[in-house]
Amino acid sequence: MKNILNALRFNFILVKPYLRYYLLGFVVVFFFKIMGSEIDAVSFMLFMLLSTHLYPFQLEEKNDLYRLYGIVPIKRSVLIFGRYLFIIVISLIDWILAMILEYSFSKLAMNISDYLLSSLFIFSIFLILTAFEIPGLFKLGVIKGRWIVYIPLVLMFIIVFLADTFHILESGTNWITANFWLVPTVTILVLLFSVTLSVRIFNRKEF
Amino acid sequence: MSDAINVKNISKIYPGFELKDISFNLPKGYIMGFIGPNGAGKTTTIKLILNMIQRAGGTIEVFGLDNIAYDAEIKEHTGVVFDNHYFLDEWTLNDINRVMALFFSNWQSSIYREKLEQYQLNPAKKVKELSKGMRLKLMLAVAFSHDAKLLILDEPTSGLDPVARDELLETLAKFIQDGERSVLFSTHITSDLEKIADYITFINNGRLIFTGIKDEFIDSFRLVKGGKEDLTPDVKAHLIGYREYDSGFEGIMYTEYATLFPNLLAEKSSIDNIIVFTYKGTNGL
Repeated sequence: MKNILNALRFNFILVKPYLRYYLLGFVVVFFFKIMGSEIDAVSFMLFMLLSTHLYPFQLEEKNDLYRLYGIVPIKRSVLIFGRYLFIIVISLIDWILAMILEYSFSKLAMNISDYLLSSLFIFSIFLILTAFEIPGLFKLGVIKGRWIVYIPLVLMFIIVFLADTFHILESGTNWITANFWLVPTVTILVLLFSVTLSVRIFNRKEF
Repeated sequence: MSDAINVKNISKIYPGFELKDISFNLPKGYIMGFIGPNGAGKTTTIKLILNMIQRAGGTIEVFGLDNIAYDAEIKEHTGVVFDNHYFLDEWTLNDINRVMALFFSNWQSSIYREKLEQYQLNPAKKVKELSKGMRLKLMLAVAFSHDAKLLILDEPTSGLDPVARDELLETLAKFIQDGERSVLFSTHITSDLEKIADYITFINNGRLIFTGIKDEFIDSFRLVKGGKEDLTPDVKAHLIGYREYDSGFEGIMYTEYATLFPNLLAEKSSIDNIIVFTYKGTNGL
């Protein structure tokens, strides 16, 4: 466990030089919110989420950090766990900040528990979609596998489009609300599958 | 005498290149020069020892332990210096201290800071601001700060000025003084090895040519010279590699064969000449 936490801390040190851009991003989102530009704020938030968890992949590829991984006394699987934990933690921070920001500015008449549930649902969807792309990034790297990042987004739009076309969006939403326990369960299962796949890929990777 | 590294019949296959049946051992307390022309398989062998790539066959033991099963234990005590650094360009030398402390259980920040001071490296500087020589010193500082018992250097001296190279050789000589620490030193600059190496392992085109004591290595080859008329088919058949001039030829031959041709001038060869003529011979140049 200590090694996994060290691997998590390593990811934060890795992105440390770029954290100022990350913080600047929140200022931009805040600015869009103040200006009432909802679409810009949401798009920028999404862009921030995607780019932040891609940072470690980009940096290790650009700087050939695989050589560092090849000489330090740490199991490859621990590095993978650390990376997933980093993505979850950074997404959690983004989610909490986005939630506070959104709720503060929201003009919707929604009570806080409904608001929490809907944002938790969005957060879980984001984690599931991210879980699909991470093994691909470990396999191909960010440069070759840049297109992988877009697959979850495209899939999400296809699902929403199909649900809307076949008029099951509302009934589907109601079903999910009634069986909400499924959301974290599926998220955890997908993440576990993703971690297993990534470990397998990374163990075979030649540095 | 136990071995720091024991490599037995390792092989690795890439499209268009095969490393085959490489075996050598580096006893504790010595420096081994690992030589061969570009593309001979030196870096591949080093990566196999470090378990950075998967081998097709053979076994590798470091400190008597299997290098795959005991990967982490071995790396706790192995320092590595590549031809270029393995850090983030944006990291400061202080960041590297924090990173390495996360990975190495026996990391000693005080020694790291001492080494930085000794090598006149400013801890607040970023890696990208360091010269090649300074980056080499940084990698050495890292290696010395986790009590490395084995140093693996992959062409560290390429691009270094003679003063920096001399400093490195001095550092390596001190490093092995206690008889417990060892160095595997891959380089193209063979004059460095003539100064400090105890053992030589020479590979060419993925095959082992020689492994053993340096003096035996140098002594097992002769640089032979003769006139044009001396380059008979029999002489050619015994030459490992040779070069023809208008007035004659020169080439490398095993010492035992050199005595068969008393008409040829035979003298001790430099390591450079052994590499060059072996390369020429095996590549039909």
